[in-house]
Formats: sequence, C-alpha cells, structure tokens
Amino acid sequence: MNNETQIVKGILEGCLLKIISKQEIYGYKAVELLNAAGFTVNEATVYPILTRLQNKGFLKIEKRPSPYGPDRKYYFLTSEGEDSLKAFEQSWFKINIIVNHIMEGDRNDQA
Amino acid sequence: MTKRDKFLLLSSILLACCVIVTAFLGIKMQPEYHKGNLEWFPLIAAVLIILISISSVLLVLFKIKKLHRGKAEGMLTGDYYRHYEVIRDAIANSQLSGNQKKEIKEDLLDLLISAQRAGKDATMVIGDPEIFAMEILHSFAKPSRFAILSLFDGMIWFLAFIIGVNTFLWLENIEQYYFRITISANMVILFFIISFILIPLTRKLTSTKNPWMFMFPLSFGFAYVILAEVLRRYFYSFDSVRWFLDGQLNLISSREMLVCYLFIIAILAVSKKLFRSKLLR
Repeated sequence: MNNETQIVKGILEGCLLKIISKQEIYGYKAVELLNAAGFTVNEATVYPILTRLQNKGFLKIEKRPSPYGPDRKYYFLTSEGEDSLKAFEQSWFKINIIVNHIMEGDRNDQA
Repeated sequence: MTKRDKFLLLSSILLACCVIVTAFLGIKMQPEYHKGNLEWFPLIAAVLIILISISSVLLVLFKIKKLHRGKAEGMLTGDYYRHYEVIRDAIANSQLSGNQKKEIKEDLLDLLISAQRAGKDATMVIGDPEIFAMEILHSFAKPSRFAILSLFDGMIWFLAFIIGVNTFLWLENIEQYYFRITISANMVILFFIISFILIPLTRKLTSTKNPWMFMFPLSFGFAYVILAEVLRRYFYSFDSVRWFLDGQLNLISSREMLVCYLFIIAILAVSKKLFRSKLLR
C-alpha cells in the first residue's frame, strides 16, 4: 500500500468521525457525503474504515429497518470517538499549518 | 446458478463419488481377520459413509438454492452478485465469529443494494472483491492474528482425526484392545497436512475469484495417493520411504492419553474462543 493511500485513509477516518458527529448516517450515505465533499471514494474504501472505527470503540451502532433488504446500520459517536475526533482536529490543524508553511516557502523560493 | 456455484457443486459430487468408490473397495478388500467379529460393522459403516456422501451433495445444492432464494441476495444482479459472492465466501471462510460474519453480510447487502439502485457500476463500487474482502478482514485484525486462530483449528482437527480414526479402526474389529491400535504413518502425516495446511489453504483459496479453487482438496487427495504409489515403486529401498509407507504409530496408547487428548481439545476450543474475543476487535 502506498503512502498516499495510507495518508488518505487516516484523513478519511477523521472526516468520517466529523460527519458522524454532525448527523446520523449509514454506510452508503457516508460514501455519498464524502464524495459530495470532494473526495473520490467508493464503498470498498469507506466500509472497512467504518468497521475499523467501530472495532476501536469510536462508533456505536443502531439497526433500523431499511426500505430494501436487511436492517440498516446507523453509526453514532461514542465518547471515545468524540475524544478521537478532538485529537484528530488538533493534529490536523497543526499539520495543516506546518505543511502549508513548507509548501508556501517552497513556492516563494521558486519565485 | 452462477459459474462459481456450478464448480462448487461439481467438486462436491466428485468428492462424494471418490468416497463412495473407496467405501465399496473397502468392503471388497476387507481383510479376513475382520470377518470374525462385528462382521456387520464394515457394511454399516460403508452404508453410512455413502449416505453421508450423498447428503453432502444435497446439502451443497440446498445451500446454493437457499442463497439464491434469499430475499436480499436475490436483489443483487449481474456483476453485483458475482462480486458479492466472492466477498461473502471470503468472510464465511474467515476466523470471524458467527455474529461478526452475519453483521458484515447484512452491511454488505445494504451497501450494495443501495449502490445498485443508484445505478452505479459494480466494479466502480467494489473494485477488486478479493481486496475488498481482505480490507474488511484487516479492519478486525492483522493477518498474523487470523493465523494464530487457524493454528488452534489445526490442532483441534488433528487430534480429532487421530481419535476418530483410532475409534473407527477399533470398531472394525472390536476384539482388539483400543489402546494397541496403530495408524499408518502416511495417514498420520496426511491428517497433519490436512489440519495445518490443506484446510486453511482451501479456506483461503475458495475466497478467491477463481472457481477452479474448489477442486483443490480433491486434486490434493489424488496427488497424495499418486505420490505414495511413486514412492513405493521407485524409492522403496530408502528407510524413510518404507517408514512413510508401512510404518505404524500407536498414538493413543493408554486411557490417560485418550483423556489427555480430549482434555487438550476442550482447552483448545475454549482458548480459541477467548483469543478470538481478544484478538479480533
């Protein structure tokens, strides 16, 4: 697995936690929301991340009847999930500033 | 019935045929010394084996029909169903618990039915189904943890084979002393290979896209018999080959040892359950 994929997966975990903190969602809806936000992800990428977050105890689930097929799983944040989201936000803002600083510095050097 | 189902059914029919033929040969070639006591046992055993073989084919057929009759599965069509059955088999053959498998199956069906209804292309949604299945399993644990659980299974299978065959041989001639029964070395090695290599490998291979993989256990069985015959014909002068072909091992030599075997099986089963709840989260 290349570095880019690993980085994107880490970012997607944080983004999914944020999305779930704002509204109750199910797997397919999560894919739709991420793509609407600008990512290009499919169900095969998002579902394992949701499972991992659930297994880590960051998400709890509730099953509700679905209009088609079996019961649908809705995801909610647990308190550990909220803590993880806070930690992600802090790291993300910090990394964002550092990376931007380096990239802009590089651009200034080129100019 | 998909191509994958046809291969599965064919492999079960071939396997059943092989077992039935072997059972018939077993009756025909029954040694004289077995005929004095419990003469009826080999016949009863052969009839039972034949019935079990036929039932196994019917069970496979029933399972295939049931899967296709399933309301939710029936909603998936074309590539969606083809990809889904690869993922479903990979999850079903994994070391996850029954509840975890059921939950994943329901999630997948909801996800795929929703995507199909939205008119998305199956390959765009799933990508490579083998990789998708692997990613799902990795979201529970690293592959090494699954390997540890397979090792537990291997040990349980191996001990169960030994006790099962010992008991079967004893029933063939009930006047023998149970704890003096010997099993041929090549059978013990075969049980070891089946328990620790063939079963885990078959589980892994049947979760790939290639339906020919269902033929792997049968091919292995044939290869093992051919290997034994080649060794007997060309390499019999070697001590190790003679031991492999004709050597006899007394693996349950006392009552204490039998109790020990049963106790270890129980401990392994309980440990596997505990380890699974710790390792796969």
